[in-house]
Amino acid sequence: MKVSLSWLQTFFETPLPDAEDIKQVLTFGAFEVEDVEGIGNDVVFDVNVLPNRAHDCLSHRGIAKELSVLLDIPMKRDPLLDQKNSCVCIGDLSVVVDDSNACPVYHAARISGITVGPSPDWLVKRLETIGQRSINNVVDATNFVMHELGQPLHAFDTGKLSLRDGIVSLRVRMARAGERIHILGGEEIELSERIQLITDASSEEPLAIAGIKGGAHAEVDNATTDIVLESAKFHPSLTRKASQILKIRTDASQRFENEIPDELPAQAMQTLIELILEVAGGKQIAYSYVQRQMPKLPYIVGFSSSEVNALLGTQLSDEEVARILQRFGFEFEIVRDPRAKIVDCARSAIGAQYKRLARIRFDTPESFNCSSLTSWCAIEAGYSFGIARIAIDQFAYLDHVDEKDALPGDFVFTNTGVVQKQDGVMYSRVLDTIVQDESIRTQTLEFLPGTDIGHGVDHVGVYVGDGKVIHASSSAGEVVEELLYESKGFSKEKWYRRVVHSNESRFAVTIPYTRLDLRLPSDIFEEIGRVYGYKNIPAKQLPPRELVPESNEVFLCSEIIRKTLGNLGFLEVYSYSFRDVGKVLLSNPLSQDKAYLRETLAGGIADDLEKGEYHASFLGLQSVLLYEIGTVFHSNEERVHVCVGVRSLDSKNRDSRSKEKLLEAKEALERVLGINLDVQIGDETFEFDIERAISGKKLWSTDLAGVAPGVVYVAPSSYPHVLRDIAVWVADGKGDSHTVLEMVQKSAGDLLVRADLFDTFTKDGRTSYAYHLVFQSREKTLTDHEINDIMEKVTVLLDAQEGWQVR
Amino acid sequence: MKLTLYHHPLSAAIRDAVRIFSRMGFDVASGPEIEDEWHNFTALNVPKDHPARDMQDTFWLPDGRVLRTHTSPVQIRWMKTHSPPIRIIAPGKVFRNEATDMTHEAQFYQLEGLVVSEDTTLAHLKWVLETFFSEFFDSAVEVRLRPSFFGFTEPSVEVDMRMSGESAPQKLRDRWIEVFGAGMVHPYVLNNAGINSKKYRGFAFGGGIERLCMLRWGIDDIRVFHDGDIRLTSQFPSK
Repeated sequence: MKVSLSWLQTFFETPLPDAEDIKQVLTFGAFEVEDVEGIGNDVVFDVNVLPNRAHDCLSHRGIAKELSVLLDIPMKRDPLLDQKNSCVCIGDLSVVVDDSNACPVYHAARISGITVGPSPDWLVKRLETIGQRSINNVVDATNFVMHELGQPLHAFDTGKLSLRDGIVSLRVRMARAGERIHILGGEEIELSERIQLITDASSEEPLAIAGIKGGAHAEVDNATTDIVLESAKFHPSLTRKASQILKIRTDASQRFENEIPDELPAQAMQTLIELILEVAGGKQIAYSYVQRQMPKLPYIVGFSSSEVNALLGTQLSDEEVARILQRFGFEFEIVRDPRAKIVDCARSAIGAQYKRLARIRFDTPESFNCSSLTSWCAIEAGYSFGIARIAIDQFAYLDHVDEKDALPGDFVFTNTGVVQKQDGVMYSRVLDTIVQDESIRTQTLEFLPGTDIGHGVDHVGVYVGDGKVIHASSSAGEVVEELLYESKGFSKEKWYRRVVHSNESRFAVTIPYTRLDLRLPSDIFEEIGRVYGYKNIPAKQLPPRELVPESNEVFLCSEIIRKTLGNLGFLEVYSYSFRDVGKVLLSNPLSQDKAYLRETLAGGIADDLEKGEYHASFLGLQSVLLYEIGTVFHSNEERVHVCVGVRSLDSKNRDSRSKEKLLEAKEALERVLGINLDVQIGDETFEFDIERAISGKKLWSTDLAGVAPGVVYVAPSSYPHVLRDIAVWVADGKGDSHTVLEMVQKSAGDLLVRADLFDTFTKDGRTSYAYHLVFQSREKTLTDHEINDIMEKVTVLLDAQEGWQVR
Repeated sequence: MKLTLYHHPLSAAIRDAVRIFSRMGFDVASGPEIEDEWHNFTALNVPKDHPARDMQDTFWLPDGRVLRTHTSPVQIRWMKTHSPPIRIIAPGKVFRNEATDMTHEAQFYQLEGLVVSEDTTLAHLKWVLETFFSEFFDSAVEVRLRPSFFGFTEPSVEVDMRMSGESAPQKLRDRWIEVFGAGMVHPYVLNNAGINSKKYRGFAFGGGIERLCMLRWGIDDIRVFHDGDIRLTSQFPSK
């Protein structure tokens, strides 16, 4: 995402550091800066915003906030947090949302009496600097606010809507099969029931593809005098799927896909209205909104500084942790006496209503159920239970304490034995699935799901000392304080669990609505870590481990095979798992000839032998010896196979030589592994299943070494090589194979990549040395002509040596 | 006459990694190449319909299973069958549905590691990485961590390394190079694998083995590892 330095500067009184410093700070504290470009007298950063921060950092405000935290400088303005906008429906504007899940928030504002025209210079500059085109003052304003705050916005021309009795009415609904829309830019799009639309309620006309692209029908143009602004939230997965189906991806759809906070549309709308009035004039005459119920309480995350240090390996004090939290501007409480806090919270809840499906953020403090009460008391005291929400999970999560040792602030659990009528299902965010609602569970639900708690647990309360408990009682219909031995709810067996273990202070941090990613203590620890600076955490050695490592039989066997075959001159190859035949088909292969997973290795090895034969002379080999160890795929299982391949290059005895070598390999493997290999030796290959072959055998680690030091790979030329032979008679005493080789290499030059002596014999006082020569260029295919020239040159130079004669 | 033994660089790299990590008390774990969605994504806190799934282009089978896109599923399988303390590396073949070029392959090898215990920290992660890289590259190595995002870790980091000194390959000496991804295992992942996230914590790290080979031996085209060409192995004689 493109971000302008001077735009960022508008959030600060203090001058920001220079571009290079900002790049470093962001890259090592938040997001990688991929590019820094000077545009005019501004600088533009291309920031790689991480997927989990797309909801708040695809905006200049978001990046400014990051800089504020990382550089420890205050922001002079924060349009999202400085004040909360209260929204009031006024005037004649109707918004109807069919599905509040698909469209959780929709705000509309009508501005009348505007003049559409070119934007002021400052606005054009802001947009053009980050690569956006200026269209007109209204469209530019929506684009500006999106890049300022991260909220996608849209404007409709009221004049093109069908008013009913002068009232503008919008309806957010799913499209019908076959419905069509002309989008901005002219294209006509066919819609389906999976696409959400903004429509004109009176005429049913589609006005925009929700969250993705506006329609041409109500496009704002130079004649527009009255507009309806949209600031909304659309369901992330729905928007993502629609974007994929339509193959339309926009700045808007990108932001909705990553989810934006419920509260953002209202805040951004205010900024947009002010800007429109400033650049286009007019007056706001109506406002309407529909939004799903929002939580009353913010999210709170609880932890201690020792827990921070336990994860990061740091040694931060409470003060240092507090300092970092302050840089973020988080509201937080340092709870010095968590036990007392738990008891006080429980006390303050006495008289609140019992509500079976109470949720902490929505119902506190008016109503509770047993587990929401205890969770809430804990979180207020700085203890996040995270995954453990319902009573039985809290029971499993917390540590046991004997009744005689119970202290105020401990929790007391029981199985009431009263089966309440349960119905329906709920969604577990932790498990990412729907779960059945049950009254008396004997297994945990989300914390280490399925853990057996034989006696079952269905109720929990806060022990407050003197034999008393405070709990949300379904029979009493409210939160009560009672003596345990008098309590109907706790008449059966009881078990105590401890929340507060030590005297240390706890942090209870309030998470601003802008941060959807901060929900667990580890999320906060990441914030603390990156601000503290990972470079400031010194490495710490792992203690030595006493246990004997478990052996991996297939790996051990593979290494033994590598050593055995390697010592016989075999070369290991790895080849593709994808082939054009097999039992297991891929739904989305790379290509049609790679649509199956290989059922054997032999097919690949056969190809490799062919390739190997061609390269053998380049490598000076007499035969191609290779093997592969890899996974093959049968219709119902995968197995690890070994396949050995041999192709002898002895033209007279090819088949028998190949078979000989294969047999040699097989026998060597059998001997070393102490097994009998039940395999068919083919013409050029044999293959077997490792686990079946070594079944039951105890294997030992080999002492197979590594690659010699100093090896540097040289990529072979991609051009073909040319072969020639040369033989020279050398009179006794006038030279040997080394001097001949040296002269050949010198005279042939760099294009000679290999020379191998293949024949020597002596007769009548002179010795003949014969060499296979391999020529290859790194730049082109060599012609016979060029090689002939070189050979001639070599011949001449060799013949010129005293006592030498080329044959 | 004793023949020279040659190594395929991937096998040699895996062997070196196993040797280095074994000395630090790590087991070697393996798992299937075809995985179900749960092991490859859901258990690793990469939920359905989430943009985080776009980070990995996946090969699908008609029955809903996938070719594993990383060796992280092996960590889940190990955690489900072993109690902490845990130290494992999981080298293995993984698959990504990507166009092939000099630095991208549809199948490649990953090396992942996992440490879980009652007192594992990010500081230990740094040490393990420094130790591994310096021994693997036989060079003085510094490691630095930058913020990143993976569904299965929190905090998540990118790992850069810098080699220095005479033994470092000239082309790489004194340059910061991105090599691995890493982080502290997300509590949901521990929970999914049946490990008590209140009691235990851990770190995980991983990266491409071909990439390590390319850095160590100057191989510039990732496609040479898997095309069955003996000219690759023939360049790597044994010690």
